[in-house]
Amino acid sequence: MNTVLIIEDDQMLLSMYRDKFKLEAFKVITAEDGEKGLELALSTNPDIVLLDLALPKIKGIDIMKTLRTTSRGETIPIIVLTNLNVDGEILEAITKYNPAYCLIKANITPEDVIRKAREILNHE
Amino acid sequence: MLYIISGKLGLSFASLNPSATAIWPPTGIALAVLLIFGYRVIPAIFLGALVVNLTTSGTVITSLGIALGNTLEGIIGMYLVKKYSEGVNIFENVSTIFKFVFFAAILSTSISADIGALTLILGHLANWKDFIAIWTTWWFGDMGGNLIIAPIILIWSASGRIHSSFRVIIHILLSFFILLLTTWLIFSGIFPYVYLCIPIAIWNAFWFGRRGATLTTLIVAAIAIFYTLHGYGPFSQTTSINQSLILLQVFISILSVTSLTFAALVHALRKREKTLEYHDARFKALIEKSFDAVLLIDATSKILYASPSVNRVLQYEPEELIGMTGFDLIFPEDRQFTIRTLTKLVLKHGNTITVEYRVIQKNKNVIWVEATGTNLLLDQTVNAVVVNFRDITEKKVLQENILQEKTEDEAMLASIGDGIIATDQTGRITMVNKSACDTLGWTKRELIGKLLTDIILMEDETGTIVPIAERPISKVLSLRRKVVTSRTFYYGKKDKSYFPVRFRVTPIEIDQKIVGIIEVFQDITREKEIDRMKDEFISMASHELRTPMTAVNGLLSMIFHGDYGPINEKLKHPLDNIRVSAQRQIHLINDLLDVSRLQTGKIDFNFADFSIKPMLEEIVKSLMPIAQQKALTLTLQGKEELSVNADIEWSKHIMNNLIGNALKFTDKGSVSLTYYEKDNVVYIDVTDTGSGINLSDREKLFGKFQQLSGKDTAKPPGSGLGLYLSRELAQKMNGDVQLSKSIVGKGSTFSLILPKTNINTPQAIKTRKEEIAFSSKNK
Repeated sequence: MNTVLIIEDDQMLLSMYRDKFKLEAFKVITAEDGEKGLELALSTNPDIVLLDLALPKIKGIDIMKTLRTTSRGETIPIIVLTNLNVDGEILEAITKYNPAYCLIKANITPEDVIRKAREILNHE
Repeated sequence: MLYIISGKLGLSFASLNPSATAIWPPTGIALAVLLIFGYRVIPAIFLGALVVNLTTSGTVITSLGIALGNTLEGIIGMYLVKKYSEGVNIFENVSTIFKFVFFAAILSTSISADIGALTLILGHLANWKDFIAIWTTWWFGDMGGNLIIAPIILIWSASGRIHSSFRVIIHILLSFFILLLTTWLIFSGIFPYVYLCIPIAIWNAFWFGRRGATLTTLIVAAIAIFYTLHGYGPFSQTTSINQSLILLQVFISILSVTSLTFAALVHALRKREKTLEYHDARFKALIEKSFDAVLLIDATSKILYASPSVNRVLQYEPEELIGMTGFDLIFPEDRQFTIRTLTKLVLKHGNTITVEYRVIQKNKNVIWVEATGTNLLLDQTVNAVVVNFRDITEKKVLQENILQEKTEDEAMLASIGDGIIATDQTGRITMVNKSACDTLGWTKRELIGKLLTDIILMEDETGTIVPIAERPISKVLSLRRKVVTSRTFYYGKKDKSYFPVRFRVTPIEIDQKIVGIIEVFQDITREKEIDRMKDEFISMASHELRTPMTAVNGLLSMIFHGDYGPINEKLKHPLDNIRVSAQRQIHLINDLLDVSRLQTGKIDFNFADFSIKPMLEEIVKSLMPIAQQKALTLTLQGKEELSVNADIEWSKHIMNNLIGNALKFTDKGSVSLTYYEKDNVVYIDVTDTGSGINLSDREKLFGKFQQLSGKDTAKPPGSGLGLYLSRELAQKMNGDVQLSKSIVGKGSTFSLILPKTNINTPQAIKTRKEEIAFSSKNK
């Protein structure tokens, strides 16, 4: 069973993604702020991370930055899920921290996310 | 020859010694000839003197000696006269006449007397006891020659016409008749009052000038000599004829000099009179003809004279002004000032002051004049203050206008919110306005004359000082064209802080030569702040607006997927409506964000060459379900393998939009895609069999928020931004989106036009951005 870490501060979205991934037989770990998310990312060794960028305490971009400096975090597949605009932090995330995907949440369904996650895992 | 004849004639009177005579005209002839012709006549004189003496008496030796004396006398006489007086024009004024008498008549003749007398004695032609007598006779003879004969030749040889009218000739004849008569009466002894000659000579000198004087002397001399030689007249009473002749000679010499002097005085007087008359006439003409108006006033400004041109300036007739007080003509406000000026002017003779003031014309108009006053109160010929003046109203008005304009210009420049700096062609600051000073923190004085690049430092966005050669002003001065930069630069203030600046540097050209630059700049700190706030707002809006929709859309998709169990048939329809609305909402937000990004220049384009066929196939595949749902055929045609140079993701976005629209607005039939090359660009046509677009609607088709009204209100509406955004994006990629064809009731064709592959365009760097594009554009 694959483990997914969902770091998302919006309760509703968090529960939606959690429900969907559970239905699709993932082991789901969740965090509602950046600090907890980073801690879990480093301690729980997830197979895949769903990461929001606009997060309290530690911003998504900083989580990526820290993760990419650790040995485990360096290769961990990250799907960035954000509703921010395409500029700024998203470009920084893409150009610097090598996410597997960078998706605008509003434009996709949970179904799409599952599909992308599967692709990544299968690829590995 | 003349010399010889006159010499012989003179010697014919010799009584004391054959070679020494009391009448010796050749001396005068020699001097006159030398003065007129110069040294080149010396040989002729010497030869003449030699011949006269040889043919008279004595030996060759004595004749040579006497000739030498005669010649030397002439040369020295000429030299002295030329050196100390005025050469030929000796008889024009009194002082040179006196010089002539001294040098030529007294001094030079003594030489000839010395040499002549000595030669005669040494040549044993005379005795020592007679030396004084011979010397005196000789001297008086020569002196007489110079005083009587030389003036005649010199004066009569000088050019100059004699004015002759009937009256003049009668006058001359009468005068000389009286002269002849008187002289005859005196010297024939009938009426021996010698001094009667004097008034007659003066009379003639007065009326007939120097010529009259010399002629008189000559006539008196001729008659007197004749009668004296024959023993008549007042001079024939003495012991010897020689004595008589010497006395006569002295008398005639005095008569000659006196009348010549008198003639010279009369001449000088007449000349002065003429000059004065001429000056007077000229002075008057100058005043009368002068363009300037001229007033002569006294120290109290009373008008003594007004020139005719005064009328043009003041409108008064000159006569009306005479006697008026000048100050009364002056505009009241300027009166005190002109009174002060006149007071200052009359303090010193010769003072000249130029001032401008207003005067009142006769018709009460006020005009400006420029007047120059000259104090000539002590000048005997003027005795007034001369005031030249002219109307300068036009000039004054022009000046005032210019001043007014200048003040306005300066006020305008100062009030302009933008900083303005002008420099010369070397980049030195020549002008700054107030805004520039305020913005930069320097004072005007600190900036003027400095090199702009020295005093105002410039940093780029990274905080690096921009080198002088890279500065826009340097580029303008070297490239000679306007520079506008879209990059943000920062200007250093006096306090070393920097502010973001936007500027425009333009060359100042005169006759196609750059004489400097003008830079207009603005502190855009606030704009930058607003920009940042706007970005923040858009970011926030996009996040906050999209997040709730994400939940709605996501949850609905899960419901439809059956993740929450089977759906009640009755709920299916409303749930579907909710989904469509939610998607529409997301669509709208996305389009709004794209437009905003496009407008703020935030959209990047990764230009690359790509083949359009695979791209179109992918889109067709993704949209096929929608077409099938509506029972429409969706086809792709295009045989050629065509590549374009554009941003592939934005191209997909446009095609999705065009095909999406076609599918949405077509109920029956097909949507077909064709691509082809025409005129070096690639066309991708999307043709539908929909309702077509009204002519009146075509114009607003590409505007913002344009949704075509019409019968199809039941159709799911879009954001109204799709076509606008598509066209903007296409244009940013050097292409276009256009409505190629539309027939109402039959359908429309929209085309995306993109530039063909340019083999020279390097492949754009591939980034993972494609992934974002995937997610953000494949709605």
